[in-house]
Amino acid sequence: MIFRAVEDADLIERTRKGDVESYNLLVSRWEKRVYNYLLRILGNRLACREDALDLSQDVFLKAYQNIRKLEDPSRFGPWLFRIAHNEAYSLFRKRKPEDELTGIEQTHEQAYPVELRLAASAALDKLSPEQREAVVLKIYQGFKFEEMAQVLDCPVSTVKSRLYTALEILKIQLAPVRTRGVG
Amino acid sequence: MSCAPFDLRDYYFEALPEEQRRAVEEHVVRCEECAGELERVRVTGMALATVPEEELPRRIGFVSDKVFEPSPVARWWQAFWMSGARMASASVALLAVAILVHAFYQPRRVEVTTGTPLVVAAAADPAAIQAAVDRAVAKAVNATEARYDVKLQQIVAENARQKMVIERAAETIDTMDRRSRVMMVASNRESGPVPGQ
Repeated sequence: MIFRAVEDADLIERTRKGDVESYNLLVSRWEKRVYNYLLRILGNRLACREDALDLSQDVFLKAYQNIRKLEDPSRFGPWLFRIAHNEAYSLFRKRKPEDELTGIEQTHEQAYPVELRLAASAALDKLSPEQREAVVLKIYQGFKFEEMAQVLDCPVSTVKSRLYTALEILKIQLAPVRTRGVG
Repeated sequence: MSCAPFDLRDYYFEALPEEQRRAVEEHVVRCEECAGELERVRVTGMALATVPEEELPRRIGFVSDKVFEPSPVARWWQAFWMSGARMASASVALLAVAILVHAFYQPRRVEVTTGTPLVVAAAADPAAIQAAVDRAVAKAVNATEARYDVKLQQIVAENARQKMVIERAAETIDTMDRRSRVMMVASNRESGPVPGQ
């Protein structure tokens, strides 16, 4: 368990009073999560990394400029991811079909069996954007269903429906890898 | 199709209350099919977890640059509109000013006498006096109402003018905000990764 000497809510309060360094600390705490969330819902390809980084910067700029609108500082995470969600979907709407690339490009350290990692990435890629986002928020970001509903601005039942449908697809996609004994 | 008393996926994602969790655990001990299904969900989750997080190509630290901070005017404006207490104070202050103005404002004296003919008439006939007083009061009331109408129209016009000024200011702030974001993204694309980060 990570002990934080200063809670996010304190940093938000200080930021509201004009302490820029407090916001920089908040950014350093959340930037990796926001970047990876954006990268994964954009498609987790090399070509998406610059987009994910640009969007991350936009997300933190918008959050800074609107920090006084955050009613409950303890809900900073879902509020921040809601901004990230909106930014990502703005990009989806602007993207042209020819910008979409196929195939997976991976440069990760090989901490896990390559076949399993590639299969998992490929399976994620086959999901619809809504299903993939539900998986990313739950599996990778660890949000509760209520928080996911806040980020996605939809009922918990819709969140569960998207996640569980995605899970069924992923189970089928990953079954051959599992049966070969990799999982 | 699972025969578990509650959704196995809810169990896996820890979305069940304690009592329901226990019921699922007791069920999967007895039911081989549900135990297998729960295992498949677990393994799928584990497989997804093998896709690692990536480090950022470069850190996000633009806020220390004053260029990207909202201007003092924008900050004050935002804080003012976001603060219920300030809005309430402003309303109270406006109300107080209105009460003071109303208390000390002296409407122009209305001439109700026109000299001797009225005095003569008063001496002659009380009914005529009453009629003259009524006419004078009506005239004074009309004059006052007319002045208030003019004032009201002036206030409405001033409000409309100020609303337009505020809308223009908001548009300007919005435009500047968009420009700063475009400049930031463009400069990041131009500069590329910063050495040492």
